[in-house]
Amino acid sequence: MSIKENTLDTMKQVLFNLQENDVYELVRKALAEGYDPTDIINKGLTPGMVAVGEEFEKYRYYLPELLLCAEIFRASVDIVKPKMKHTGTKNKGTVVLGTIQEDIHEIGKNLVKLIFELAGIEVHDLGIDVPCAKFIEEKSRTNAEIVAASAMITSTVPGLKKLTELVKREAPGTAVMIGGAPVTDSLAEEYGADGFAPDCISAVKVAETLIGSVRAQRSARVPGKQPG
Amino acid sequence: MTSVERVEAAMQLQKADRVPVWIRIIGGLGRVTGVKYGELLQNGELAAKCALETQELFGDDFLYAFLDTLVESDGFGQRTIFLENEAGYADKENFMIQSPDDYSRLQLFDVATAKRCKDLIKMAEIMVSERSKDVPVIAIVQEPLVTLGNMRGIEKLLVDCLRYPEAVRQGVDIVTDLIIDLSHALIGAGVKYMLLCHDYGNRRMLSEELFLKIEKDGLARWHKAVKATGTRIVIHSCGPTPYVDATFTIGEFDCFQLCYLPTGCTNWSEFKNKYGNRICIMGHLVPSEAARMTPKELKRECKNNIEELGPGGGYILAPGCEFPGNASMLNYKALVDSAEEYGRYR
Repeated sequence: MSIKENTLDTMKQVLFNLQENDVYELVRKALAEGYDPTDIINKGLTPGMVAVGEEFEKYRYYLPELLLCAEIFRASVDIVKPKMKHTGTKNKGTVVLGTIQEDIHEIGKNLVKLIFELAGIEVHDLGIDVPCAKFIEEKSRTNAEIVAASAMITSTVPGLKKLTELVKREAPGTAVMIGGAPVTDSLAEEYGADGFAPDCISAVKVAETLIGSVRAQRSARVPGKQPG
Repeated sequence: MTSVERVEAAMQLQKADRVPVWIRIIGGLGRVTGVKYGELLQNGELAAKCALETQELFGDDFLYAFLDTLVESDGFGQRTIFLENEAGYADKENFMIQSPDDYSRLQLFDVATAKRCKDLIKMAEIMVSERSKDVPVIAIVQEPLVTLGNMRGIEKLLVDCLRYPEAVRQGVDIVTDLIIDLSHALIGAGVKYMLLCHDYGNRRMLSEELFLKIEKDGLARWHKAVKATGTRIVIHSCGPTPYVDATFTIGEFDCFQLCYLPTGCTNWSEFKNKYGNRICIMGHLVPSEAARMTPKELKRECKNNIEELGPGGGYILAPGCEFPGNASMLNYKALVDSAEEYGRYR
């Protein structure tokens, strides 16, 4: 293993251990020593974040650890960013996100946004209490692959069905993801949604799969292009 | 038996004439009585009237003194935004706790003069004077982290628990003083059961270790203060995988209201065998599922709950949390009817 790889491994490890100041120090040191900023993010910080996400899924880390890791990750990227050359990084997909109309509970939505952005997915966050028409409007503006909405209270859950139906009608070729405490896999199926995830970590995996499917469908529809 | 006798028998882990039942509705009160929900949340007398009428209509075994989870934070000065027909929320643009230093700056206030605490106490007083001879009044206070979350924002609070545990503990201490005062006022009004909303004591929020580090001392102090009055304590923990054993390290409680099983139990009969000689069990209908069921399906689910947890007594049929306000009122009735139809002890 090269010295560089060792440093990036250490970066992954200190992020995994949530040693906040050590992460920043290591990132600054790596930049000063001429490390490629993209490598710092992709080979040092991202594997650390992924490892924390895996621990979260196994209940060895909890929400505070996940949130703190995300904060450290973001602050580290802010340190690295000014040194990055604009190389036109690949867009991993676009999601329009919000809580359904009349629902103001946003912690789950914010977590999903955070984890999506860390995974390289562009998120257009419409905030809370979002009317269905607003989701469609934003989808048209951004050509997002996914419209994602959450509901936290049972009285607002039927709004997710309305949104799913509207997206299918007004924006065919767009995937719908729904979530929130009262939402289940079977309910998502009943509503005709394309994806459901019980937590923010699994939501990324579902979103990546849906983005792949939507892109494949869209490219299949373009004359002369082969499906992916 | 009256509801008072029935519930007390269950709390003493004995059989009553039948399994007691609690619908636990607050969001639905407005719909049942034709009052705007946002209006009743801001008026203790109106809330009491709606709760009394609803209990009379459905005939469940508790009167519930509760407005919302923002009563305590509102008293500290955190602005509450009320909605017409939905629960309100704390003004997230203006959280009172802006930095870790602010936890220790919270000022304890007088529950007798703070508007929303006063409304809650008034609600309890009216219910007690109108019907407590037959139906017990259960009142709720929030564990300190719930109130701190309303004043800091949940995400920031969770990170603070890791980064600045001592600062958060100072906030917990101050809020504990408040919930002791509020509990004493409610008990003074004649409340027989104090329910602690315990949303952070489960695997969805904090690790067991961090939960105990942050809240154990405060909750132990509250437990001691309430127990000293002879009042029974119900722990409400509706999150997945609640920390039941960890909660017992704080003190002995009388009843646990749950939606989901804790670790170490694979089914509810096992849970009953493990804890049934120590606590009265309340639950375990999952509210969102119960709201979507037909009355017939709900009754079948209630029957299963009773068969799992009812034998030998010490069980109260209830949802694991609020019964959703938008559920069919026929489901409220189906829940109460189930206790009568399937919960008779011979």
